[in-house]
Amino acid sequence: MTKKIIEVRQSVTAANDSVAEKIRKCFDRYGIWVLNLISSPGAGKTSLIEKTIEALSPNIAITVIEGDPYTSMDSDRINAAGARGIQINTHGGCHLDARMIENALCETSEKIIDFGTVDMIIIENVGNLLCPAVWDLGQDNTTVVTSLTEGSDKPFKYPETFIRADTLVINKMDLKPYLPPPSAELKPNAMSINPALKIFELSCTNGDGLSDWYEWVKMNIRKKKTGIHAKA
Amino acid sequence: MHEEPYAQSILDMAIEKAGDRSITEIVLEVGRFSAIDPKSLEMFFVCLSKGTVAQKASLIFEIVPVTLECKMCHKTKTIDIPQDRPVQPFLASHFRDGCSCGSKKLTVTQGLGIEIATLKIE
Repeated sequence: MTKKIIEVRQSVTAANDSVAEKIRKCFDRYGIWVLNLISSPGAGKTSLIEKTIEALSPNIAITVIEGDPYTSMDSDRINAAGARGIQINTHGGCHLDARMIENALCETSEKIIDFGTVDMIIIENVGNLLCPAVWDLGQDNTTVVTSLTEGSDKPFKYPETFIRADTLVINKMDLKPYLPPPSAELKPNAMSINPALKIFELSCTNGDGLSDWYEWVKMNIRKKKTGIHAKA
Repeated sequence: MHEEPYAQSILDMAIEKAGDRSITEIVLEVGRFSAIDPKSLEMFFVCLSKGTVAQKASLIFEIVPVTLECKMCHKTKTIDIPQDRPVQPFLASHFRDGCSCGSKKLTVTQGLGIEIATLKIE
């Protein structure tokens, strides 16, 4: 039989990327700002989301998609904080992909949330610094959440995640007096491989630095809304 | 362990392109900076492709080096990093030194992700 070579030249994530583009268009149409939060387990993603809900609700309507291997503990926390929490269990899977987000929002073509009433969707990815960065979820911004206690070497150990992100949150700043001096190198280390990162140093425990974070979130929600008005 | 979804995606894409003909070879371009282990990817591919037109396909891995581009003068620089060495120290030193034009604004433009280049079918 004749042999034939087919040129493909397509990213292996192409199928995911096309779903991500589809849901991104939907978010754009409704002017919903979407944030993908990535971190190692325990860095404080859920605490940061709780604080954000407390500060911005009810003026800003927030829906949170929670990605965890197991349990609904995080979406329970979100519901208790006063926002809509949707839980995705990956059953051991190490990251969320675009199809999971699509299914979580529109199960069997039935919309689970009313897009017209949502200002912001926060996607809390599975706690993992390696895989989530690669999978586009239709988000506008990608924020890596780290904490001072994790060690300053994380940007070097997981460079792809820090390179693909546009924002970095350094949480647990209140612990700085108790930690050895090298912990302060986390920020310069992150900037050494991605100088364009926008960085927030804060503490979800004592509240320091959170107001700058809230302002940044509100600014992005406004920008996304105005984008819609401009297009309309 | 995270190579399983990549293997599944490669298999789905290859089968779609090949139709009902059997696939003998898949050439993959793997970024030097993509956290992908070819051996692990191959293991998943062998398991997943059983009983499909791709079950006899061999995977060929071509490594794509990391390329940096200066945001100011748009000059590009390809970094040659030996396969057995970690990427980070090489990359950090390039970011630290910046571009020859004096700018420190460099971005990674190649060497991330993984792409299917070609398929051989019969």
